[in-house]
Amino acid sequence: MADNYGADVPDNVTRDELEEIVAEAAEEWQAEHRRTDSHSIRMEETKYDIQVVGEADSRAAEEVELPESYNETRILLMLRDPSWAFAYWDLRASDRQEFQRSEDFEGLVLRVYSMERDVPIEDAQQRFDIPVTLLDSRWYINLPDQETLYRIALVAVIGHEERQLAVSNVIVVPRATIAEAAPDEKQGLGDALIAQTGIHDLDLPPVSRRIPQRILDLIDEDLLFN
Amino acid sequence: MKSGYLVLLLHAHLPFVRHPEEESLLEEIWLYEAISETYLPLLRVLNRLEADGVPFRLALSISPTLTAMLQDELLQERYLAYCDRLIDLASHELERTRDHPQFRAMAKRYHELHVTNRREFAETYERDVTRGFDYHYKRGRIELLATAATHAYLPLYIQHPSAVDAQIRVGVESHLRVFGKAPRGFWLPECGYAPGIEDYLADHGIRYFLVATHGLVFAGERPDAGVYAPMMCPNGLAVFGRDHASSNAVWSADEGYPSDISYRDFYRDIGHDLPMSYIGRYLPGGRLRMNTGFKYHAVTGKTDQKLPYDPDKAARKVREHAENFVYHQTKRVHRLGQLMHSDRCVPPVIATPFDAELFGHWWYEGLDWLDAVVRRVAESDDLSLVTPTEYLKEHPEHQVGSPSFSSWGSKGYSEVWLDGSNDWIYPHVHKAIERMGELVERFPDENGLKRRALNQAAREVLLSQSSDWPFIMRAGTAAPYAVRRVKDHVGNVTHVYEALSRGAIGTEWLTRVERRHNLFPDLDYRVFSPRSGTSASR
Repeated sequence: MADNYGADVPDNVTRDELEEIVAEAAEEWQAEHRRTDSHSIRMEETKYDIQVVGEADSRAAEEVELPESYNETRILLMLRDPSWAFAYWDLRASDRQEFQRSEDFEGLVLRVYSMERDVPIEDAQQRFDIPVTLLDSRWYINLPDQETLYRIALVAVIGHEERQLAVSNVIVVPRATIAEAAPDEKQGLGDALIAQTGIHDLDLPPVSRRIPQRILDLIDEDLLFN
Repeated sequence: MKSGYLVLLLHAHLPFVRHPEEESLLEEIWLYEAISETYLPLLRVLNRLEADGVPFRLALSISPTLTAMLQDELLQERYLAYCDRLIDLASHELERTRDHPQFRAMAKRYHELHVTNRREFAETYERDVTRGFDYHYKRGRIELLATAATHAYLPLYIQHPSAVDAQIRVGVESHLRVFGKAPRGFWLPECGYAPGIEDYLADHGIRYFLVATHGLVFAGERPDAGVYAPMMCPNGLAVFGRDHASSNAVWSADEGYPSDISYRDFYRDIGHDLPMSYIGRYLPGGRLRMNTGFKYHAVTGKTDQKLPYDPDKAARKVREHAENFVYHQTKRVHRLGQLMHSDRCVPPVIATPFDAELFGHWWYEGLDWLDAVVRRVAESDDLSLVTPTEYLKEHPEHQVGSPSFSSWGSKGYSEVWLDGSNDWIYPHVHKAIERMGELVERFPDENGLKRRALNQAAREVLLSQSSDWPFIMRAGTAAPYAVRRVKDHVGNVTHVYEALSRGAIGTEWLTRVERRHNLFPDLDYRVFSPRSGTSASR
């Protein structure tokens, strides 16, 4: 839970101290969300908020424990938004033990490939590496380009050699901006209609906020006359 | 012809929360509150409009998990007990406020509300609230849309075609079973769209769906009508874009109508204000403070010194806000019409979807506002309410284009359902989906106990996918419950998977789980066939 909420946990903390750290981190995390959440999400939260004060009965007694690993070597990639993807991976116990035993094992690498179309990773135009450890099993990856396909490989670095352990599915990162008008289209009318949609007011990630100045001018003009 | 159209869409949804193994559970109150404060009062609005001869058109989606709970005998019985408890509290409130004229009118209202709710629930709808909506659906005044089986946020399952297909297929089948009519529209949970979803929808007979504003504005082809006319996907499905500006007038916590100082405050509640010696018997275990729904104060402003709520003052504000909303939408359709008519001959349509539970539950006066808006629009020469299907029937030709990945969540994409607080669930839920596919391949045509076990495993996979669990984990309000639910459902899939591998299913265990998670009675586990899904996804 401390990891989930991004809390730094010093070594040798007691259970009580750890609980306090997690509670504080969770509170900060939620406060940050409340500040940045969209209206629809804030409204939806009130549906589940019954404002309970006090400790509910312990109902976790029968809680099922899920395995940390399914004993298979795989990696999966999920698109979160046009700037970020999420990858999770798993290792077979035999692979993990081999790496732990090997003196030459230097670590794992997430090798991120970008492509214009779905091709084998050998034919990918660009790639970059993210070093991870045997303790990691998930990672958020900043995606440099839009209108691009990404695939990721889990690679073990053993001495001077690299072993590709698993390759993910492909994700398609869309363009998060307004398409340019075709040369024969009446751009001005489209701009004026887009200016009415409230798009400028949406809390989209920075890359999506690239609304052409000519549309922003139309929004200002419209506000002036309202 | 009117200058423009307004689609008012309410999306009603709650996750499947039903615990026969426990006498009562805090989270079951989500359903009871929604029935008392939103669904029954909404039906009263629709019935009043009908009785007064006011023409109206609304769109409404009711999720399959919600209809399953609304039709469940155990929850119906528990809801009646909830009503009885609140009627008893309301009677005591009449007594307590006898010498407090500033609160007395509201105490009377609460008493009337709960007595009316109980009577209508038990007698008018014979415990099944879906009948009330079905009545107006069959008369064409409301259009009901289908939605995903357990309200899965579909973009995060796009790598698992069988899971997306199962959510849509079971959602459509559930709609047909409850309302006896094939749906034409589909509400994508959280407006979550990823390219390709339209192909699954088309496979199940859907004709249109809605996306967030930027789903159309950032479409592959520049939208030449903004979001004020649907776009036709290349596969022929129509897609309406949410109008952010009109939604914002209501949604915005700071600037929206509900934040007006005259309206009833949501947070100030006698469950927290009154001594335990009085209120304790109406609270869980007699010791946990929580909302009771009895609230006597107005928003007032950013202060703890809340003023007593004045229902007459609030009613005047409701009329003013309804007038304001209709005035602005009328003005907007004129402006939009000028821009659109110069280029094409379709009148603009403004699509404004809301969470249904916003009305009545969070915004106490919201349903009165809706009633007033409908009446005001009915008198308008320029603006008309329309259902998406009616609009498409009148105006079937639109620009062809491909919508963009989008949702109505914070920052416009998937961050609410995929962040540090909830991302741990996906390896497990994805594994459950994959194991279900494997079971379908290994046991393609089972009967008897094995079939029951496989069908239950399919229910558990669907339940594990509810968007509510990651949402609640992130919100933090009932996170332990959401964690428990994901673990329970994935654990149950694992149990069936391992038991079938061993060739030994325990009847007692299976019966217990079937009784707990009893939704989708006609579910066929083969909906998770890895070969199911649209041809485009294979």
